[in-house]
Amino acid sequence: MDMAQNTAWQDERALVRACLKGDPQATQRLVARFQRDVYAVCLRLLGHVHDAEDVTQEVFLRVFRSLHCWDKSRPLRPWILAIAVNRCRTWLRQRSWNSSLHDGLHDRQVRPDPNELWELQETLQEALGQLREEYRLVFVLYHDRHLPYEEIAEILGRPVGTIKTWLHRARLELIDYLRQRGWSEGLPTHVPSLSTLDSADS
Amino acid sequence: MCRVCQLWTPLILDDPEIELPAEVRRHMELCGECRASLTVARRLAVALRVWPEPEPGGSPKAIAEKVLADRRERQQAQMRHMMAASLVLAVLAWFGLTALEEPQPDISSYRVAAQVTQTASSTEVIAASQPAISHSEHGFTDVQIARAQPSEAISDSTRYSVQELAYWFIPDSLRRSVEGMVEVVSPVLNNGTESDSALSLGDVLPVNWTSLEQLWHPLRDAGQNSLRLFRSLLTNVSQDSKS
Repeated sequence: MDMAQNTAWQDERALVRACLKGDPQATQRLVARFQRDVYAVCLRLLGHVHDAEDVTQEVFLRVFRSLHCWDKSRPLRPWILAIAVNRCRTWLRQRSWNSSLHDGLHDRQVRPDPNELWELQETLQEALGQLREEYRLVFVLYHDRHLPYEEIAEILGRPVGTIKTWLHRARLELIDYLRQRGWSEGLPTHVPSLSTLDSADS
Repeated sequence: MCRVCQLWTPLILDDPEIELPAEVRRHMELCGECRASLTVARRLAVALRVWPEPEPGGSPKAIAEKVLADRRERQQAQMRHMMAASLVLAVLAWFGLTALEEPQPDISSYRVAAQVTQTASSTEVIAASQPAISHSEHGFTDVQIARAQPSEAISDSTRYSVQELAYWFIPDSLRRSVEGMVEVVSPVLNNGTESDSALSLGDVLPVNWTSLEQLWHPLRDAGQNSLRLFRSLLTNVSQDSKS
């Protein structure tokens, strides 16, 4: 463990101690630190803005209710994301994916992406909805949250080898789905090329 | 999709600009399916690179306030549960301690005298089957007698000597102090004179026991007190029976 990581863990532990004492500022800081991650996972998995907001709130309620159970020797983020993943799974079981995806699409049309990439992203989100739950989880945690295999394995409670297998299958199924939806037929005009993106990044 | 492309398409997602080996490029020229898959992989890589970071709807402050409100609510609920549990424990403890403080006598073993037979040497009491003590506040000092049932059959097993009944009705502390003496002297009280008792007690009492008066007076007082109490109880019972 390097020094920066060690400092981050100590900071997390201090933050959790303050939260357990009921410090409102610490509570707000902890929410702010992980809200983006939790919300992103919820949105990618549920495909619905309002559901994602509701579940994010629920996740934090559960996090603070069981904060005293957190193992101080382990990082906080995988623990919180594991709670988020479990909440999303429960939420998904309670409603059918397809019906909410339809609502989710409407949500997005209200807020179009300024780069006009939203159609591409909609298709990607739709494709994600077709994947098995485990594959979708791994794909989102790896490609959207950019988590390492080890952390994903910790969140999902599976060996690293299984995570790699699931990611590989998720990628192949996505490519297959997108190919069937005509993504290989020629680049749409609003999809930028890699060189355009690189120049935009720089 | 062939095995070669299955291997290479996911790698493109990690690095969209990865250089494909010559044999893969040659294969793609021949195989339309693999070419399409690799094209899709490149586009997917692009889409993932520009996948926008979702902006959370609620502010951290709003969520933190909800968390704190939830905590307050849970603490209050916890407090209510603890108070309820304490109350239940206090009530149970109160009942438990009361029961420990005041052990109830075995009421069924006490009987009201239904018939008393006085002879020259002894007094025999025939007890009724109905329990004598219906309630006791402080041991044997506050005794309430239930009404006797004279019509009930009397058997030998329900005959008790006056000493036995007196033994039951005298206070516990007094009983303990005299019970040993009653046991030793009862033959004298029932059957003999003072001189006889002196003879009969000669083997039991120590040599320097000069006068039986020292033993006799307190014992007689205790016996008389017990008998007086017992007779007053019998009177109450007979009055209750008549009324």
